[in-house]
Amino acid sequence: MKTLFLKAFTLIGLIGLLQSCYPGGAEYTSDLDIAISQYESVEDLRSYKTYYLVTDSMSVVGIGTDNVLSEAEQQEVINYTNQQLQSVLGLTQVTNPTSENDADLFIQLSQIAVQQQGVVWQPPFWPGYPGWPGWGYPGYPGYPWYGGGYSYYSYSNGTILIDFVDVSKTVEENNPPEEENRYVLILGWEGALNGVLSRANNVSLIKSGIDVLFDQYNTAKAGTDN
Amino acid sequence: MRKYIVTLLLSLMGFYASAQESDFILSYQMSLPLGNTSDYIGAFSGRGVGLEWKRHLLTTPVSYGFSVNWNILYEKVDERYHNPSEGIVADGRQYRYMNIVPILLHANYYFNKDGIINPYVGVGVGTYFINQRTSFGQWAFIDKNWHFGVAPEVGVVADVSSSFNMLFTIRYNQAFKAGNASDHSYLGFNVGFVF
Repeated sequence: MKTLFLKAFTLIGLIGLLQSCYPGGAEYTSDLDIAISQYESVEDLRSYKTYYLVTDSMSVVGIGTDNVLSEAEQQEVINYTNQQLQSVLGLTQVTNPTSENDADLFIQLSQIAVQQQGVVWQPPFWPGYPGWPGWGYPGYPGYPWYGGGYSYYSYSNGTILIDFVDVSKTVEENNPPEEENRYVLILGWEGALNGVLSRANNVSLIKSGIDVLFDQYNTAKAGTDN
Repeated sequence: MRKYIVTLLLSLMGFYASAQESDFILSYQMSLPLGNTSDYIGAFSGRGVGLEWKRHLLTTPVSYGFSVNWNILYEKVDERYHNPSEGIVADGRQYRYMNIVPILLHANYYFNKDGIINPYVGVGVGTYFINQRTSFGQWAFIDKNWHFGVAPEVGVVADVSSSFNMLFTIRYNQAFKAGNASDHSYLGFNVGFVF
């Protein structure tokens, strides 16, 4: 009997230690939708007043064009983002920035079409920022978001990214550039929407996700650096 | 096969012969999170089980023993996560879990040892293995730690049957800080069968 109870003790201990129990959990794919944003500094967020938005199309990161938004859908998302940048974030659009009339932010939307993990994230397409030719090949090595060791920062298929590149810091960082035609982009803020693949290309879901991300931006802006 | 059956019967006979000195307890355990634990998961939990062996001293109303328990806390949370020091804001449904395995040595003092209702006070000392998991989107944040902990308790043993007794206890579980992991505490409400 003693042996029997010892075995029972061992069994319950092992189950608890090794197996664990996870009741509940996600029931619907919508339960897995998340919106997450990261920023460098609250003071920087408060200082941003103007932006330049890439309106041609969204950058698509991945192989092939399966499971990505169509051109029309991309334009719908971009136009909506443009409206919300002004109405929700109170930013002013600069359509033709120059050295004298620079924008504070260079904003680009991207869609991840393959699983992305680790530190490397190099969009195959980058339309460039007017006045600063050469920003066609960003490596983003300067931003801690892409630091190694944080697997939960990896992006999976279907993720939408909104990058707010800090123009003045990026210009300063790349003067001169570390390598010819390779520029380090300094992000002031980045938002990401992630859901399971079947929900990734739903424009209305992306729009409501953008609303959440911009609300997060205002939440961050209202807070303090700790 | 017959050999095993005979061995089992002999073991059972041996167990009953020594039943006056040793108890085995199988308990159903409920948990009410407190403190830091309550900040993470506030929901009352009805998921828990425990096994305890204890031996009574013959001359004094004191027992000592050993237990392995398993308590599971769970809560679904929709609140916004904002961490200014990391510069992160996140929205999404979080599924929070704590699998807690207290492995404790016990000492109890009994006030009415031979009575039908036998109240007692006791304390457990040992380790709490805590597996804390937050599922968020398609990812999970997992933290596993061994904590040192104590568990004072009050309880009653009721002589309800000739073959077994019932046990009702309230146990305060305190797992102290371990490394970067915060301390955890919860109140356990246990109902057990004493064999």
